[in-house]
Amino acid sequence: MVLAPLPFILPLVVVAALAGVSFVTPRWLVDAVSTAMAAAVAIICAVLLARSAAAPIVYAFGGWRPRGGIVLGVFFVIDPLGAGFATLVAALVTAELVFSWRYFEEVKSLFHVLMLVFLGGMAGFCLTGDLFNLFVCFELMGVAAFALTGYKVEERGPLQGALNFAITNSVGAFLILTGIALLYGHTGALNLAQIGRALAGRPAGGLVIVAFVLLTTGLFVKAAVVPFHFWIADAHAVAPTPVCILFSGVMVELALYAVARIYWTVFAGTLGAHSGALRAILVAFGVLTAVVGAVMCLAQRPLKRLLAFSTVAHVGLFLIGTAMLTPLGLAGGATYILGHALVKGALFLCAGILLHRFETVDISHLRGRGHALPFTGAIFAIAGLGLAGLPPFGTFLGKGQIEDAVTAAGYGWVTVVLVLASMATGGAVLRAGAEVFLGWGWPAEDPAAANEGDERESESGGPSGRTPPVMFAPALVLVVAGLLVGVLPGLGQAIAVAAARFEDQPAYIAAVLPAVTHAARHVGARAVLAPGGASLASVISGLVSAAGAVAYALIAVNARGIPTGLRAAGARLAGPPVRRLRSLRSGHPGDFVAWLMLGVAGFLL
Amino acid sequence: MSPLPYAVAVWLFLVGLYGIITSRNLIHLIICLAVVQSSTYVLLLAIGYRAGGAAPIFADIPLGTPAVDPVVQALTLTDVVVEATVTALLLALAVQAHKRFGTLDPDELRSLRG
Amino acid sequence: MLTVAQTVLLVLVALGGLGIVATRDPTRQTVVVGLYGLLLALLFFAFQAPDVALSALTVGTVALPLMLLLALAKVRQQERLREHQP
Repeated sequence: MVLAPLPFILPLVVVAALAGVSFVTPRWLVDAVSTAMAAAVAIICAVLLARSAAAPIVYAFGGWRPRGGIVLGVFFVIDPLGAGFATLVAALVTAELVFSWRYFEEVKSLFHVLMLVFLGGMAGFCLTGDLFNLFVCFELMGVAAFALTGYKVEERGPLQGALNFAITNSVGAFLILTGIALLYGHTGALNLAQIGRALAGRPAGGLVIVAFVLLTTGLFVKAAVVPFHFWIADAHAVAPTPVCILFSGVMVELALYAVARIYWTVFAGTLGAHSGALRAILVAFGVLTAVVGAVMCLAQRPLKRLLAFSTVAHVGLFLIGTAMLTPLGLAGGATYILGHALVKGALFLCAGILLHRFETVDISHLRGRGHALPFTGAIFAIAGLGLAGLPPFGTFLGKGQIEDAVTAAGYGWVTVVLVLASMATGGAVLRAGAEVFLGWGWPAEDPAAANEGDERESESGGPSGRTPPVMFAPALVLVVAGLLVGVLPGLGQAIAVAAARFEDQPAYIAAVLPAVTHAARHVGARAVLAPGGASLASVISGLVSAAGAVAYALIAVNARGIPTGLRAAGARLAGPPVRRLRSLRSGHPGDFVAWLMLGVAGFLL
Repeated sequence: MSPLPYAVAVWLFLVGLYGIITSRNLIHLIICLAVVQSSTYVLLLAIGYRAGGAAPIFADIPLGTPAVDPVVQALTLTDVVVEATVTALLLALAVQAHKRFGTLDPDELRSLRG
Repeated sequence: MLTVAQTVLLVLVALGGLGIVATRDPTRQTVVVGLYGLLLALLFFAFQAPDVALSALTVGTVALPLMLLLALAKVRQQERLREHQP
């Protein structure tokens, strides 16, 4: 399969070429080449997705085939879920590059170079079947992401965001590397399938558990799981808006994908006996993340920070789905990630349009000024409803699957968290939309609160009188795609089947190491047909959370009508916890790291 | 295999983290990050080491001579390169932060953000 | 079993790491970083990893201190500019 390595290699080759000739190429050429490249990668990944439907595609770099069950080279092992994720990544990068045509008045080809490196790293991360390769791709996308966060350094406010992001994520990467080293010392292998085979069936020793915790926590840092989430809002506030689409939409979720991938290829055979305890720990992390994210989301005034915390809340929901360790839960997580990425991308693009037009993303400064952009407002509102999980958005489908999965696993109460978190994030977005585009609500009584963390940024170079259609188009396409995910017949089913295959460890090992594990091959046929459609209960919960979001938004912007006493009581009730949560997020990167270590310790215990 | 290399790796990890947590200067902090990273070198090499093994250069030694594991050395090499990249990027960011705000103290930088 | 040289170098590296963290002045730290890089390179050599030792020598004792000195020089230059034009 000659296509297999291309999503990783192609962007990097083009990067080298672009960087080499950047001084003589005009802007339009750089734009065209990089956009075409991202689109090409998306198409290649889609082809790989189609071809991997029957069996995983195994590609050995340099033709180093395994001999006698021992893998020497680096492998790409492509299954539908990984290829699908890579397709999503490439599609978002394409949308983002199209948006950037007009978004940045002045941009050096360095931006495009970094973006393509980012794309290559993420695509490789999705497709690789090798633990150390996973780490290298992690670092590759990490370095590109740090640089992109600090891009436009000259014009922007605090660099704290980029620094904190880089430092915490680097420490996370070291944790991952330490975990890899321990696993290698234990099994003598770096290939996921080979490690999995070496560990399978044996009771998990202390070393294996420590390695698992190190790998998982390292990835959780990237996934912005509470209490490792401190970097995300800072990074989002500082990074150029088009870059935020990728951070929120796919980069953070990729880390969860890697947790699932590593668990199901390496640890499932040995940690399977402890799956009850593991499920409880992961659900606890997920619920904590969802709750903290939702609460912080409600308390934000700068639009980009608000969206960043809504991502934190949603990561918690994805984690809950994945934590069920069942095909249905994973399928729910995957569908939800797909729907969320599209909707959240559209929201960030709307924020980008506002920033481009008015040079601020603070809701208080924007009040009512969105009147001039009715079309953007409509997209923003629809995407906000989608974020709340309104049927038939993709988010609704995924949330429904997760709800079914948690009920099946005996965690029925988590459904409440799911509904409330999507209600809160959707409500916060809708409220912001009503204030910005309709001018509803009242000016902030406390101007100091409105200034928190915001900077009057001008990343696009001067306010502009009109917004070019090429900036609307990607947002519209993303919202429509988010809707299509929910209504496309058979998609939920297909993802459920892909998830069942993803969790089939013996089949994965048999595909990578054919000769030795021949006996295990018949297990591969055990592709469980899980229900993929939407149940009535999930339709109801979707409608409830969307209605709740609208209701919250209406109440919040019309809060004048509520008796002052009631309002004050609400503020008194909500104030201290929010303030405490805020004060935890000091700007010192050292504190982030301290929290990180605390989290590791908690996980180990 | 003696536990000393592992102990040193853990020690370096913790000492570096302590440095990061207590640092008052961004450049100092970035170097502490490099110390944390160096712990992974020590760990990797300790894992690959075989007592009495020769360097994994198979040009002019007789067949069957014990050698240390070359894979971890390749990993360490990659790690060293990664470190150089990340450190360079972080230093550039720190210099930019100083250029804008005139301080390298993370706490002061924070107070400037309002 | 570890040889004497390996043991001594491991202990020295451990002390070197502490030294870097304890040196709070970045300019002095640069010197310690160079020494630490040299120690690491020797350690790799003792652990039969000559190629890693060579790259660690280049990065740890040359590139890293050089980058640090450049960053510090830049910072100092900016501080001088700031003093001239308050």
